[in-house]
Amino acid sequence: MIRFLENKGIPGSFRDPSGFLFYRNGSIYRQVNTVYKNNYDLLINSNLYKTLLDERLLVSHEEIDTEGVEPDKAYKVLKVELIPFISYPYEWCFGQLKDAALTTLRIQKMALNYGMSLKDASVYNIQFRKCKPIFIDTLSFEKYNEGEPWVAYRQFCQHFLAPLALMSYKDIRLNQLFRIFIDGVPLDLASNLLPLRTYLKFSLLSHIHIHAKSQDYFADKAVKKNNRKMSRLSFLGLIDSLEAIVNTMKWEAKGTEWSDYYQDTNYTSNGFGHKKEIVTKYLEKSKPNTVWDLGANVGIFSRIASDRGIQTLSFDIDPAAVEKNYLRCASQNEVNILPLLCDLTNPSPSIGWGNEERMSLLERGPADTLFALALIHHLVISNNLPFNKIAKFLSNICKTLIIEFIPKNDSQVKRLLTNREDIFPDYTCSAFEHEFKKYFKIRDSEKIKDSERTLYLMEKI
Amino acid sequence: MKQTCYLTKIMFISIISCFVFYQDANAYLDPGTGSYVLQMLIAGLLGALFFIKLSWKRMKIFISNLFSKDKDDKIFRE
Repeated sequence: MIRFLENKGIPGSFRDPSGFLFYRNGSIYRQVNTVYKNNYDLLINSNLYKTLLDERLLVSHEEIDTEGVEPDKAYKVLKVELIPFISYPYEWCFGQLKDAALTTLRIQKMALNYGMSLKDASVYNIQFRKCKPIFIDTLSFEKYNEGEPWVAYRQFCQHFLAPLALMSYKDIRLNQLFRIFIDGVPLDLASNLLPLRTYLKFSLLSHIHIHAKSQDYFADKAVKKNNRKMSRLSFLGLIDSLEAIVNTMKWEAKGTEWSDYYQDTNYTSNGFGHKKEIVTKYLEKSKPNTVWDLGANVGIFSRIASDRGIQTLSFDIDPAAVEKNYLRCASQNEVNILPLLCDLTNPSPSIGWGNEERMSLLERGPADTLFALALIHHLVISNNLPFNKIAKFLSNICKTLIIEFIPKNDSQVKRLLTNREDIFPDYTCSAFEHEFKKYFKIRDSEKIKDSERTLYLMEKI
Repeated sequence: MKQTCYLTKIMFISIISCFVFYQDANAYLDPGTGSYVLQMLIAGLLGALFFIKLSWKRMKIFISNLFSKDKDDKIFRE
């Protein structure tokens, strides 16, 4: 449902005068402006581009002999490699943000070896391809002039260091601050929120607490120029210090609501196996290229799709479940699955300038096939969502749907109703089918063995 | 908490009062004056720490090479 306009710049690529992305005939191109000519040539001729490509740290491009969107400014037009799914830091777990930070610093160190430096350190310059972080902004490199400090230091601290410290030392949910602050977490806010013990760590004391004070102190002051320079050794020391503190940050994925879900289900092993068989059968019938698994937990069912080479997004609301899922992807080198955080009752909106810099979840769909397994009772009973609204929403983000209905006599539903009044007289299988038939055609359905649950394969009308 | 913040502020102001400077840079991104100044303030220390770290690593490699060479020699002699 992406709505890029033909031959127009892509929203979100407008701040850097070095160039911008645009859309033409189903492909994404990057116009490199003449003002960036020397830096672009240095990137290519210094071999930095090739080295980063060899290390799978930068998206590839091809120079194309075609006219740019603003030809009077254009130096070159590049056809850029597409990333299958664009995700944002407020959808990443702790491990993903940490890996993104370390990738940025690694690229900066490599750039210095080739006489270049990153002129920005935006978290939005990192995406996940084959479940590994990759840098997507070819125009972020500039010639390194010895003596100059790192121009992107403030941005790195706001986009990576402060959110990671907040997630690690305060509360894992604080990555949601990215949704409010488009230019990363303000350092004074991070400094106020972080616990006192972070003052005892020199790196956090200097890069966050004193940094915040420095920003505040100099906010309205004109500062005298001085010829003092920052040596290359000091520059490397700064990067090394940032890398060391990021490396020490940890968050253990446990203790959240859903992280131990699969130790707490009511399936028999026979029933669980049967559920997997039905999902596999429905997947083979629908033959999708992309699958979104909503409420995926640690991704057991997502892997039925990803193991078949299908590009799979494994969404869950629980940071611990997403973390476990991501760590497994990273350790097993899984390339077709990307775990992401998503609260379905409040999916990522469009944010940024004109509400269009970062796309909403809906704009990044639809998926060919959607999994909604053991999900609907949570939406209806825990969140008071009527079947009709759920069916309509799901029909907006997929072409085929594999969905599980869990009736009231199931122990998991009974548990949800233990401490609240049952105001759901319409929570029945027939009402479910009736409402979903308004948006989908039911192609198949099957009861799961040893349970009261039913799986459906539906196709959008 | 307030006391710690106050102490940090005093520390910060007393350090920067020693030397204040600023340098022009042709960047599209606003580096932030406070961020620039802080970098310059901590640069010397971070550089020195980095130098010590590198030297330590090199020394460890040198020593481990020395011993492994010794071992190799022994193996060769045997």
